[in-house]
Parts: sequence; structure tokens; C-alpha cells
Amino acid sequence: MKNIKKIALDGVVTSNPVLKLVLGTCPTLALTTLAMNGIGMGLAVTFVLICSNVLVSLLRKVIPSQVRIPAFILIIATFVTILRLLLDKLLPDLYASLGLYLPLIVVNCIILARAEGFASKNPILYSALDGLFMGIGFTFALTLMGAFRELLGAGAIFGVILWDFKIEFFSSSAGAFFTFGLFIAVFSLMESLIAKKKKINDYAKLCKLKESASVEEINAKLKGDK
Amino acid sequence: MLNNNLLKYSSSPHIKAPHGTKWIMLNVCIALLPACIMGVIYFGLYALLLLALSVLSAVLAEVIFLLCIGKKFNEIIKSFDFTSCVTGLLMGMTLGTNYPWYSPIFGSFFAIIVVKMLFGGTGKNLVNPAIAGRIFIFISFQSVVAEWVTPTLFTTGEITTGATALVNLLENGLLSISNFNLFFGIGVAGCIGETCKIALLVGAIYLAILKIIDIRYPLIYVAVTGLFTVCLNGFNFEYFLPSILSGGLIIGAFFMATDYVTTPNTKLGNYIYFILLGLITAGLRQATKMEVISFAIMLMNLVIPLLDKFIIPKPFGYKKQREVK
Amino acid sequence: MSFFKSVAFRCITVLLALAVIFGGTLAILNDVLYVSPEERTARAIKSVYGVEMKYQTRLDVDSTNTEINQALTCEYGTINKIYEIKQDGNNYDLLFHTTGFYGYNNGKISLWVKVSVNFTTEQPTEDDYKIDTVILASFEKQTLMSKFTGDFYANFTVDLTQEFIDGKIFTSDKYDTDNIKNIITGATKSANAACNAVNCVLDYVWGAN
Repeated sequence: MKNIKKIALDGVVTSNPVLKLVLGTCPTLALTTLAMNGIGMGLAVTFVLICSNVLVSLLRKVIPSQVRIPAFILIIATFVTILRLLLDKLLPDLYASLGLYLPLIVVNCIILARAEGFASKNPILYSALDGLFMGIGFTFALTLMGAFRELLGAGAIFGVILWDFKIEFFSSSAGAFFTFGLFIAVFSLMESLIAKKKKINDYAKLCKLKESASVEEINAKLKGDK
Repeated sequence: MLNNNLLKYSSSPHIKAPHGTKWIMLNVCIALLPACIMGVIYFGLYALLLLALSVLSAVLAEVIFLLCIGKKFNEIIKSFDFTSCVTGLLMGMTLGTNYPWYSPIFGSFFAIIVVKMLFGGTGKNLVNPAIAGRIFIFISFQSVVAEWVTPTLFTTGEITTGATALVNLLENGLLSISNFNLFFGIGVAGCIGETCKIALLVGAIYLAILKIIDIRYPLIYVAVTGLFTVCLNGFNFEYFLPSILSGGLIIGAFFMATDYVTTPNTKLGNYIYFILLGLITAGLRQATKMEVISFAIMLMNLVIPLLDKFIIPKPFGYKKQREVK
Repeated sequence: MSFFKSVAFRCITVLLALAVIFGGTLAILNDVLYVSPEERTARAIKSVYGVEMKYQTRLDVDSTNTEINQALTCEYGTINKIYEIKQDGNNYDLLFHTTGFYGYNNGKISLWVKVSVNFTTEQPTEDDYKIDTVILASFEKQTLMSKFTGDFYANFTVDLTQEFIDGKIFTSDKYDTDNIKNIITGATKSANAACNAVNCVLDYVWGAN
């Protein structure tokens, strides 16, 4: 259970593929103009991630390590093609909105990185879960950015027009890079604040104080001990 | 703790001069005033509102940012250099009166906070913040804006329907406004600050007399633009004066491209920078038939670190070693 | 013999096996999940009308009749198919599948254009045609399709009255004062292709009268 919890936290927060590992930036920048596109792309990538992780993990003992990259690409490309056929048949609206970026999922670095870094070294269940949570993290980041850009750039959210005022900078490509940088900055800020809080808590535990002790109390305790 | 009264810190080049940043910036504001006044006369009180909002929001943005990073209010007031005033004023002057009233607010906040403050404050910005703010407004509020607004005073009979004289010249090859009118800004459609060229030139000469700007370089920029436009249009010298006098070239060359932070450090670098600016401006204007000064300046701003890296200034007293045979 | 035990042989076998197995799977799935043109038409009708409707093919560009091909092509695009859907009385709707050329990067945009024809006389005249709905069908090489909003398509819905008989077409050139402007800032070439697609419909309607 602890393993699963760690995988989940890794995928969504600690090693969020978009905001921390900065992988797969191409669809991030292009498809966050609308929040709905973000969710669509996220779900598509999640599907391919889970399937390819499972298959790579299944075949990890069979594929020799010298040809692992071509083999991974074959597997990923197959699943992307299957996805394309399925979407064209069952969800044509999503297919139209993804457009050119659907075949680009093949070279999305997240999938190759997870296949190489996790699925080829871990059993099937963990690989599948890793794929799932990485996909969730990707979707989460994309939807958040999409909602932000749509709200400011088009005055709408999920297609529902809220007000007339728009700052079209955020709908443009320049705004995409800007929003991306902004989100990465805010994400690292939150991460560093949490790490700082954790460090203070650890020190408090070390000094046998209460968990919510403040920095002054810890300093006083340390000085008193000396 | 560092006592701020005893230590002064500034960015390179560390040349001792009798006047500090505050004095320079205040004089730039004074130099811009004639053009602002003419702009308000031509375009009405709405222009005054835009200019005022621009300056006030620039100053406000700087104060808010400094408060957020923990500086005390008295410190901010004491160490206020008027760079944000100049940024706000310049940016306001590049707006037309067809922009909504809230656009300079957003532009100023973007220019000051993102382009200047987040990169390190005065002296550390990568690109000219007024230009960046102008481009931000241009991209963001395009849908709310129609054509250029023609001025409300001194309008003559033959005004072009909305497009600036520049666009008309390049598209149709016709000069619909005489050079005299272009020079004085009579009946010319365009941005608030850029139409009255004589007022801008007066301000530029004032700055040159005070040795705040080096007048050679903007003149080179303007001349190269004109000459290259002539070359691109079949060596027809009739294009020379209109291409210089229309659009934002005068204000861009004398006030924006000469910003201290975003010019190269060496003389050769400066020559290359301004000549390239002229070529790019003329070329892009010809190709896109739009006003491209802000984009050209921003493009060249990004090239400056390259120029500074490869053009190494001669150290003081350096003599090349003679080769020993 | 030792080759068959080496790593190189194993690599080649694995890759070939993967390629064959995946290729086969994809071939099967391609057949299973195939979307036929009829299905695409049905989807378009569903999105235009909200329900399925019966339709007949009036004209088809694939036929070998050169006269028909002449009627269907114009200088900036081509009409692929025209479907006729009967409405009350003598009225009917024409559903055009048209493609406009000269988009961004020389690409094309295809649209579904529904033209309603309401007339009480013997034959319809130009005044009786009205463009009701325009929907995007597909596009080639266009990258800024996200800028195409509902407003843009709504601008095409006009009565084809005397104004159009005077030769006006849709254009995305903001300096063109003779024709009707439908512009998207930042995606003018794509808007141009879309306007061309609708102009083909206009060509056909004028030609039919």
C-alpha cells in the first residue's frame, strides 16, 4: 500500500510531468487555450500511458536492452493509432478538437520517459498505476492551465461564456509560454513552502516539542540544550 | 546590516557622473512633455486620461511589487527613481485613443512587474519595458479596437479613412498627407505621442544638449530606415521623407531605442545595433505593411547580449603586443 | 550457428515479431473501426438538424459526367457532394459538402453548408435561397483552427438576395470594401479558405438560376 501511495503522490504532485519534470511541453502550450481541450488531451495521454506501460512491463524480460527504444516507440505508436481509430469512431468531437496533436502523442516525452524509467523495471500492476497517476497529473496541470488561459483570454470556462472582458494575450502563443512559466513558478513556490514547513516539523520532533512549534521555540530549545 | 545611506549600488558601466538616475529620468519626462501636450491638443481629453492612467499604474505597479517583497514604504519613497514614470509615459504615448481605458493599466502592470521587476529592477531588464507593455496591449485588446482614430483638431479635407499614412503609402504608393502635415502632425491618424514630430525632435535636442542621449545613433537609425525603404521601393527618393515622418519611427528612435539598459556597451556594438534596427524596421514595414517599430526594437534588444559577448571593448591603455620574430 | 544465439539475432527477432503482431492488430482494427463517408454524412446531418433525416444525393463530384463536374468546381474551391433533404411542401434543404482552397500553407478547409430553399412559385429564384447553418467538416494543414468561433460561422448565414446577385462574395481581406467581410484576426489565410468554401456554394446557387 505504501508503494502505491508513493507512486500516486509522485505522479500527481512530486514529479508532476508537466510542472516539475517539464516533459510534454508541446501539447501543453498548444492545447491549453480551452479547458475542455486540456481534459481531452489529458485523457488521451492517460489511455496511451496506461496501455503502453502495461505492455512494456509485460515484455520487459523479452526486449533486449539494446533495442529498447525502438521497441518502446513501436508499442507507443500502436496504441496511439488504436486511440485514433477509437476516437474517430466513438468520440468524433474530441478527435476534431485534438486535431494535429493526437499523432504527436507518439513523441510525447512523458510516455517514453515513463516507459524507459519505470515500466521497464517494475512489475505490471505498479507500472499501470504509475501510468494512471502520471496521466492524472498531466490532465490536472493541463486543465488548470487551460482554465486559467480560457478565463482570462476568452472570458469563458469550459465553453460557458462568463463575461465580455478578455485579455487576448493569454490566448496567444506568447501567453502560453507566460502562463506555463507562471504555473511552474507557483508550483515550485508551493513545493518549497511545504518542504520548509516539513523541515520545521522535523526539527520540532527532534527537539521533542509539539509539531506546531514555531521557529523561535525551536531556537530557544536548541540554545537551552547547549 | 547594510546601511543603505552609506553604500550606493548601481549597474555597469561604473562611470562617475554628476547626475544620478533621478535627474536623467526627470529630464526625459520633461523632454517628452511637448509631444504629450501636442497629442492631447490633437486627440482630446481622452488622450490625457490614457497618459495619466499609464503613468499612475506604472508607479503603482512598482510600489506594489516593492511592498510585496518586503521593502518598507519610507524606503520606497526615498529610493524612488523615476524610471517607472518614464516607462508609463512612453507606453501611454504609443497608444491610440481607440484603446479602452483599462488597457494602459494592464500594460503598465505587465511592463513594470514582469519585464522590469521580475528580472531584477532598474538596470536589469532584458527588453525595453515600455515596448513590451505596448506589445502586450497590442496583442491583448485587438478585438476591442477598430481602426486608427483621426485627430479631432486641425483636420484637413483629405484624411485617409482610418489607416495611418504609413500603411497607405506602402500599400497604394500614394502619399495622401503632405510631408509638411506629417511633420507637424496635422490631420495625421496615429498614436497619441507619435504624430507631432517637431515636438518630439525638440525634446530629443533638449536631451542631446544635456548629453543624456547620444544623438548620432538615433539619427543613424532614422537615416538607414529611410534609405533602405528607398532601396526596397525601386530607388524612388520620394519615399525617403514620408517613411521617416510617418508612424512611430521618431519616437522609437530617439526615446525608446536609446534606453540605457537595452543598448550595447561598446561603440562598435552601438553602430551595428542601430544600423541593424534601421534595416529590420524598413524590411518588416515593407513586408507586413504594419507598424513594426516596437517589434523591431524588441527583436534587437534580445540580440544585444550576443553583441556584448563578441565585441570586447579595448581595455584602458592596452597595446597590442608586437610579434617577436 | 553462433549467430542464432547472439544478441543481434535476438534484437532483430523481437523487433520483427513486434512489428508483425502490431501491424496485424492495427489492420484488423482499421477494418472494424472504419468510418464510411455515409456515416460522416449522417454525423453532419445529426449536428445540423439534431436528428437523423432522410436525404438523397443530388450531385456527386465523383461521377464521370464532366458537365456535373463543371457545375461543382469553381476557381477557389470545389463542392464534393450536394444532398437534398425534403421539408414541408415544396421546400427543401440543400446540404453542401464543400472544400475551399488557398488556406494557410496552401491547405484546405471543408465545410458543411445547409441552404434552405423556401418557395411558393413553380421554381425557386435567388431570393428564396438562404444559408442556414455552416459547420466545420475537416481541414488540412491549418494550425489555428481554435480561433474559429461560432460567431465566425454565424456570419455566413445570410439571405441570398439581391445583394448577392450583384456579385458579392465572402472575403477575409480587411481592405476589401466591395464584398462581405468575415475575418479572423491572426488566422486570415484559414479564414480565406473557409470563405472560399462558402463562395463555391454561392457560385453554384447563382449558376443554378
